Amino acid sequence: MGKLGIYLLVNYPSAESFIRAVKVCEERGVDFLEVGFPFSDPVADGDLLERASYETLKRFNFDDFTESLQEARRIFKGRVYVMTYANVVFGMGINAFAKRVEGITGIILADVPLREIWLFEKGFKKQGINLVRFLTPESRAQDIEKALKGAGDFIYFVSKRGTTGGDFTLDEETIGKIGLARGRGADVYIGFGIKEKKDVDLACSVADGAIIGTKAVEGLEKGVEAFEGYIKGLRAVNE
Amino acid sequence: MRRWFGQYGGQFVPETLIPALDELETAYKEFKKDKRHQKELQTLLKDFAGRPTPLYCAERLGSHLSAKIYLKREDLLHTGAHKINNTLGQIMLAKFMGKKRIIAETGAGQHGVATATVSALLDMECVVYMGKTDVERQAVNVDRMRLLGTTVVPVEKGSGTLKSAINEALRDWVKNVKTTHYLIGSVVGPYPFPSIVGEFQSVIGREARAQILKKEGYLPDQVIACVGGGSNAIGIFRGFVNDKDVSLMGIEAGGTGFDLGCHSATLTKGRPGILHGAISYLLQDKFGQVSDVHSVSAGLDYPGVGPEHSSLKDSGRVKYKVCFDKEALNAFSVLSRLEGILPALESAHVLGYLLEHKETFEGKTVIVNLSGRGDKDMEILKQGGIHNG
Ligand SMILES: Cc1ncc(COP(=O)(O)O)c(C=O)c1O
Repeated sequence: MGKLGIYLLVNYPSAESFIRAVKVCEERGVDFLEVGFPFSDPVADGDLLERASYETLKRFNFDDFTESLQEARRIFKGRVYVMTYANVVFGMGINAFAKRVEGITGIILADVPLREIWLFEKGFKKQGINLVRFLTPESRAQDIEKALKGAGDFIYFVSKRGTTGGDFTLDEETIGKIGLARGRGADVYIGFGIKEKKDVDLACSVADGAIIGTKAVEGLEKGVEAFEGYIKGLRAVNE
Repeated sequence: MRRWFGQYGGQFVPETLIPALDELETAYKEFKKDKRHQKELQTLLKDFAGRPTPLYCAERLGSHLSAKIYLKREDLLHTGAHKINNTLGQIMLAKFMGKKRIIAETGAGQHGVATATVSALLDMECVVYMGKTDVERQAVNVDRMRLLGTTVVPVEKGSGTLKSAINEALRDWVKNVKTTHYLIGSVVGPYPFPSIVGEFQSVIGREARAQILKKEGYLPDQVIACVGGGSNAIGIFRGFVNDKDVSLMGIEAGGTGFDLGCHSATLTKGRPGILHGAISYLLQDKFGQVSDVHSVSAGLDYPGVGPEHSSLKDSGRVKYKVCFDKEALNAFSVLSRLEGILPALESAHVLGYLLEHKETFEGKTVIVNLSGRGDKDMEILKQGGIHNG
């Protein structure tokens, strides 16, 4: 059975519903959480997450984000990752940032490709935090090699050329690339565009896990009950 | 080509774009060696764009400033600014790479118009992203682009200026990376863009250096240019950077003053950060969120700057100074009245600085990079009350 990861934007749509959503994830057996820290210029995000980021930044600052993150960690017993952009870390100082998010399993930086990981790696390692590697449908053999080297508990496979949200498909070539990385012993989770049970099933049939972002945040926008219903539906598939 | 300028530069983009950046780097190196394409580019720069541009001795402005002022007349180029040096180069390069579609961002609309123009000339599909605020304040350029067959996409999200336009262009590129070339309009973005754009613009400095030597028999004391992303400045600085006695100066937009959000003086007021693919100076808050910026000139209204400038600032080779909105607007009328030249508001920042700091330049020979013409700025000037001033 594949792992299921849920992305939630910190304190969105409100601090309270974010925390309640984390509880739902804990109760419904979600395997890991990705907590998004918003950035003013989220170039890897589609419309929904971009707008959500701006709204969150208007109402909260970094201190609020870390407070909610630590609260989420108390509630959620599984792995927690923070997903954000390079300058949210770099602009405040890599070491200072790493200290503020201590206790998380890994950090995912949407605009830090394999070849620029060197800049961030040391600061996070000191806190025992993994820097998650990306692979994509565009990745070449040398990229896969590079991702395998020093990879933490999983490699994040971006399912498509494009931003978060949109539709989920996997072509043969991409499935081949996922297989190549898994063949070398890495756990590969697929993200971007995964919406429904059938997407999760497809992802988990070729990889070790699936990550849902936009659709989960969209569900939570409709209320915690709607979100819970949505998560329940997903888990039923795998159980 | 330089991947890093000191500690600045790099490739901070989603992993999906890395193979495309590698492909671009390889293709550019081949393109540079390809004699036929280089010759074709030279011919287009000459016959289509209008190079070399004159180095004009502005005598009335000079006597007003008690200095010898030369204007490097990039404003006389086809489409009205230095931007076409880069668009001709990059669209030829995109064709060389077999790409069929061009996307670009634009602030003032000058890069957009240059891109639309060369796309028409070389038969490429073209989409230009432009912040909503800029679509309004540079409406003439939007019409020009549309007449040239380009699709202009107004970007309402975010700041509605150049920064949002780049975000949207990057999103498009990630999606369509197989067919599309992203034609960045300044010396910003991930490697190899700052290097490629810098090389395409360096023709400005090469010409200016030869021209001043021919006219005066000596090198200037001062070379000065405005800095948005920094391409016209890098273009002219490259000609003089090894001439230790030539002082180099870049002028940033001071907007309405030094409160955060009121200016776009990145090198003067910012600190290192990561935006749009590179480490460089950046206007940001203490949590790394990019600041709102302002300038009366859309082409300078950007919180970042090219990584090469950050390195030139740290080394002290170039001094970066500020001109405020009001001073630039005033300089616009001064140049118009004294020399019969309407400068782009971006370029007017350089003239504004000279007028405000006359004493610094007294008795000196100064080359000003007049990066563009001011026709596009009529709307803003009318609102500023300059037209009947
Ligand atoms: C006439 C003119 N000058 C200067 C600029 C600023 O760009 P850069 O700093 O890349 O030269 C622009 C940008 O739109 C422009 O149109």
